Amino acid sequence: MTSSAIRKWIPGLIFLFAQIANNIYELGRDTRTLSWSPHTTQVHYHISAYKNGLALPKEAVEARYGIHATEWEVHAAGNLKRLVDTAEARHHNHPDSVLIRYSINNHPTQTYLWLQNINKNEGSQSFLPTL
Amino acid sequence: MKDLNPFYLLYKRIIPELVLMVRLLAIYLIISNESPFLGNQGGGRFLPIIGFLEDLGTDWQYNMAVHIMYYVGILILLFSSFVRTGCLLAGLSFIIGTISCQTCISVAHLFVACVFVCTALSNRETGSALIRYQLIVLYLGADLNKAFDMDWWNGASMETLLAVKHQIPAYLTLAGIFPPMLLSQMVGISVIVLQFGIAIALLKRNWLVYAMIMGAMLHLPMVLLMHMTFGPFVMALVLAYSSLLHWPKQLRYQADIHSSFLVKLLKILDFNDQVMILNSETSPGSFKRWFRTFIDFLTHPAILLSIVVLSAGLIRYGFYVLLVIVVLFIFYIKVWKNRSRIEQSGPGPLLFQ
Repeated sequence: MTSSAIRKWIPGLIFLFAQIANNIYELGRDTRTLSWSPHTTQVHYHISAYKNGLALPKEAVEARYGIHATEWEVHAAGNLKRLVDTAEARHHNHPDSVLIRYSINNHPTQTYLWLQNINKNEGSQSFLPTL
Repeated sequence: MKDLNPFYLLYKRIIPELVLMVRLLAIYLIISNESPFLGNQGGGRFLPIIGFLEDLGTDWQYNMAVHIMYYVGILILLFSSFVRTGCLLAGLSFIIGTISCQTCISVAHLFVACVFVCTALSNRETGSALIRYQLIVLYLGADLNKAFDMDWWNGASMETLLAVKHQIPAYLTLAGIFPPMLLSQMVGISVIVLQFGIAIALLKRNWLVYAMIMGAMLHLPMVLLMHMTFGPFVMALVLAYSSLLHWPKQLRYQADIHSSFLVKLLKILDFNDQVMILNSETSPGSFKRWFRTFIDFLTHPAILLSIVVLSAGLIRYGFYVLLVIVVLFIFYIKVWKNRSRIEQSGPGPLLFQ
């Protein structure tokens, strides 16, 4: 193969190797964005938000985050946390707290708590029943 | 002027197999109303990689710009000789759409994007090999995610997907025969093995047919069980695999077995000098002749287009069993029965042989 023929492969190979590198990079994270992970993880979740001690209506939660309040997430649990974090970073009129209860592959439920003006807290394994 | 005709596939910077594949994919995306964005943008624009785009215009302007890029790309790849430019625009619009909002993340749409981009980066030297490598990257990437997840080895992932989330009656009945979780464990491990097997088979040019068989074993049961084609994923996958096969430059009319009416009709729509009518003798029409003509002239762009439109209809109205039967029948007629020829001729150049 001549050097000019090899040059014709280079852009395509860079594109493919970039995908492999990103795939390996995302393996070490709890989110999935451009990774080849179709339906790899089944996360059943429920998001609730609280203001002045009262739970916001389901419709308000869904409008705020653009997803159903109770649904399946098929990429990674970290995507839910990232969604809440970025939405709250951009929106005003924050709730006092946002609670995500989620179960990965039907394992015991875990929680993630977002609190206004306080660093986000990673919930530990909760005592809530499995969904 | 010939280049304005989407059926005209010859004399481009890329091989006709790729031109045909991306044009059929583009038509499928349009008629099935697919979009670079999956729906609303959830928590707003979210671009983890190209963050500077977050400050460009309003959300409406940004969405409109991505949609315009998508439609312009589709128009260019369908109606001009600049197929690669059109593919690049369409592919980039899908990548940007996928990463523009968190609720739009979709492996199916990302795969469509990568098929377009790989075609944009292809040329006569690479042939269809970049699409083949893209498939290898897809399966290896998906396999890597599964292999490092214990739930795929112990069955928890498949059990949740099939028994808890979708509650598929046939699967629940079958799973009842086995000890708890055993079927899910077997299915999970089988998926890991199959995906790895496909990636390996795609590396060797004369194992393509076996890669396709394993691909059918992996994807088609999911289509039947889950009653979905994962957006444009299955169609893009079928077309990507098809582009690895040799597209015949000539199709010969035989008066004793073909329908002369249908062949003449195909000749009118033949802009690649593909249909050869050496004997102009007419033949009587019958269902058998029509069917034989349909099968023998299956690689004619007009027939392939009609199959894509039919498939879109089957998917739209949920006739998944019929869709799977059509796919398997075409595979049997055009791939399995010609496997020795496919193995000998090979599907195109490879960088590593």
